[in-house]
Amino acid sequence: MPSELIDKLRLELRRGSLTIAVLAQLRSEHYGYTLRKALAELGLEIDEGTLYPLLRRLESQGLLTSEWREEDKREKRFYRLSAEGRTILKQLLDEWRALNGALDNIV
Amino acid sequence: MSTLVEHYLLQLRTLLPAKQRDDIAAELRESITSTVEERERELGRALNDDEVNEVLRGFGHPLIVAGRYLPMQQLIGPDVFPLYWYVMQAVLIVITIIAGLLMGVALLTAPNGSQAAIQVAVSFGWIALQVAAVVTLGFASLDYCKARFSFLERFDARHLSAGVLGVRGSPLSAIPRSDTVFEIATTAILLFWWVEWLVFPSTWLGVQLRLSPAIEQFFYPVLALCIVELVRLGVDLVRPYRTVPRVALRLVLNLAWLAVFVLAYRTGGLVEIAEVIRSSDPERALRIAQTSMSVTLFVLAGICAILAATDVVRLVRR
Repeated sequence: MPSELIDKLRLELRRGSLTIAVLAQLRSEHYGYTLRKALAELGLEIDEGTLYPLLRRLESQGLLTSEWREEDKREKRFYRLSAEGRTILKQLLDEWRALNGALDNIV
Repeated sequence: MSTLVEHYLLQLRTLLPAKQRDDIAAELRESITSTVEERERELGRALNDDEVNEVLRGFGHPLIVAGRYLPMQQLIGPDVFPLYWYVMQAVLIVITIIAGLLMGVALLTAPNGSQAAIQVAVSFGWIALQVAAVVTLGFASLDYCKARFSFLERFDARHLSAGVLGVRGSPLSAIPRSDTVFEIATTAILLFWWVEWLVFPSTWLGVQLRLSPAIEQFFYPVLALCIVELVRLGVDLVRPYRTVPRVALRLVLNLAWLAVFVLAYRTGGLVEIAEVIRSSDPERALRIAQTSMSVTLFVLAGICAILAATDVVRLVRR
C-alpha cells in the first residue's frame, strides 16, 4: 500500500510538470523520438504512451505546431512551440517558480 | 518491420479516432522503428520477438494508448464523482433492502415461494440496472454542465443563503442527504411499479391479485406526482437546505398525495382476484389483501398529513 500510494502521489506531482517540460523542450524543434531522448538525457523519463497523446493535446490546444518532413529517408512529424505556446509557457514558468519558491520556504 | 509491430499497430488503429487514425499510426510506427533501430545498434544485431515485445510493452497496451488520444477522458470528473458514488451506493442499498423484504414476503406468502422470490429478485435486478443508468446519466450531465457553464465555480455565498428558511428560535439545519436519497429511491420504485416496469409478487394466500379498475383513474395524477417529487428531491440533493418555495411545493405535494390516498381509500375495492390458484376461501384472501392495502393507505395518508402540518408550521414560524 505505501508503494502504491507513493506511486499515485508521484504521478500527480509529475502530471503538470511534464507539460511544462515538453513545452520548454519544444522551444527548439523535435520529433517525438528525439524529444523523448532529450528529456530522458536531462533526467525526465516519459513513456511513449504518455508523450504522443500529450503532444496531440497540446497541439489541439494551439500551444504547438507540427509538420511532417523527411529526415534520414523517413517521414517524421516535427513539433515546435507556437507563438501562443510561448506566451503560455512563460506564464506557466512564472507560476512554477513561484510555487517552487513557496515550497522551498515551507519545507 | 516485425510482424509483432504490425499486429500492434493494426490493433491500435482499430481503436483510434477515425479522422486521426492514419496520422497517429504513422507517427507511432516511426517512433517504434526508431526505438527498435537504436536497440539493434546497441546490440549489434536484429532484435528477436522477445526484445521487440519489450519495446512495444514500453509503449503500452493498444487499448490504453488509443484511449489517451480520445477526446473524452472521463464520464464523471473527480469533483462530482464522490457525490455520484454516495448517491449510487445509497440508492442501490435502499433498492436491495426493499427487494430483500419483498422476497421475504414472497417466500412466506406465495404458493410457490422460491419461484416468486426469484421473480422479485430478477425484477429488482433490472430496476437496479435502470436506476444505476439514470443516476449515472444524471451525474454525467451535471459534470458536463459544470465544465461547460462553470456554474459551480461562479457561486456567490450570498446567493447560497438566499431564501433559506429558518424557523424562529431554531438553528438553521440542512436536509439530511440520507433522507433525500431514501425518498428518491422509494419514489423511483413507486414510479417504476406504477408504470409496470417493476413486478411485485401479486400472489396472496393462494390467489392472484391485481389492482381494481377503480384505481386506474389515479394513473396520471400519481405519475405526475412521482415525477414532480423526483425533481424536487433532485434539487434537495444538490441544495440541501429548505427554502420558502421548496417547502411550499412540498406542502402542496403532500396535500395532493393526501387527497389521492383518501380518494383511493374511499373507493373501497382496491384490489380484485385475477385468478384462484389453490385457495379454499378466496374471498377471505381478498379481504385480508383489501385490509392490508387500506391500512397502508391510512398510514401513508397520516404521514402526508403530519408532513404537511410540519411544513405549515415552518412557513408560519419563519
